[in-house]
Amino acid sequence: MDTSIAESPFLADGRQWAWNSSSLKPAKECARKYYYEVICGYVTAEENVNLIFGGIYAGALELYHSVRAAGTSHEGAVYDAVSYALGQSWDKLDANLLRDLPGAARNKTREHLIRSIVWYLDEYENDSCSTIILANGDPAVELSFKFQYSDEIWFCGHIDRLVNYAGDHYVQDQKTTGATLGAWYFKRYNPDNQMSLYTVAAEIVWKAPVKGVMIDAAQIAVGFTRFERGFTFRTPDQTAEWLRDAEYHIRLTWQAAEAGWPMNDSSCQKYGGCPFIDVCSKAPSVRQDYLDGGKYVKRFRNPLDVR
Amino acid sequence: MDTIAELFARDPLKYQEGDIEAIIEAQREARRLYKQSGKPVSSTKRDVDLGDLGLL
Repeated sequence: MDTSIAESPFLADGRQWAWNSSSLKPAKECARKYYYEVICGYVTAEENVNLIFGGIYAGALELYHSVRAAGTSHEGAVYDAVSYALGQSWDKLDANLLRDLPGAARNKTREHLIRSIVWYLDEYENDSCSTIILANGDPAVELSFKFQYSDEIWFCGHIDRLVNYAGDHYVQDQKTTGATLGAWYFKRYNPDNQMSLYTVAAEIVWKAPVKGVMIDAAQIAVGFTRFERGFTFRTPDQTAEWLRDAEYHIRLTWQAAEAGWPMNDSSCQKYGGCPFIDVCSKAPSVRQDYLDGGKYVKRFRNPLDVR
Repeated sequence: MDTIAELFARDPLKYQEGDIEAIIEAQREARRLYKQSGKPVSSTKRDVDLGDLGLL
């Protein structure tokens, strides 16, 4: 299959061929959720805030590591990262507009974003992990990947950074959360769809044998940001198993389109409660009204977008 | 005299020399306060006077 000129992650018959972790995750949970989230592009207002905050946060840290690898001082790189984040977040993440959002999203304000970036970069100024330099001489930051698994299935995504830590290689991923950090928080990442895909991608695309993912988590609270580093490991047979299972779920999702995107109603209360529970609990004839009633925004995310 | 809150409210395209440095220093001051007291702090909601931070 020639994908060189393809911009859509969907084949002509509507089946998705380019899969990232964000589209595969709902596909594994519930076909209806996948339909609303990936095919239609609906996200809740609070999830949209989380995506904006997390995207700018990760982008600023990637920029920091990129310019540091090019020889810029810590101070200069912090300036660049903060300047980038202030520009990207302008007219977004207004505290007054976030106040009524449920959950941790109300703390994802512009001020807390800038605070978290400065605090993180100063916290890890003298970090013992270093950015891997790729064979072409570029630092391994801001890495978009795409690789073919089978004739009609490709995996793609974006990795924040590849690092060397204590003699081993890891994918580094930045997480922002409202949850209290600790062993319980990091336990959620094994098994985990995203972390398994990142481990596979690093090994296939960059031919870097990695032990797993180093997760730098930031707890965003009203009056502080707290950081904790955790690790999640994958063995080669675990990643091989993940690939096989992913293909199974993708084929099921393809079949689900023909069946009208059936609901998995045993998943509705899981994962903190499905964001579409208020839609699916209504009669089919009025669901579209609820989708368009203001709780959701349209945010189509193409897995093939390169940062 | 600009407070940090005022700097946050300004279009970044209109920043002047020293504005971003002032924002960064205010975050660092807040971090120092947090580490010293262990209590939540704000670097923007209170009207931080840049003079207090030695920036003006």
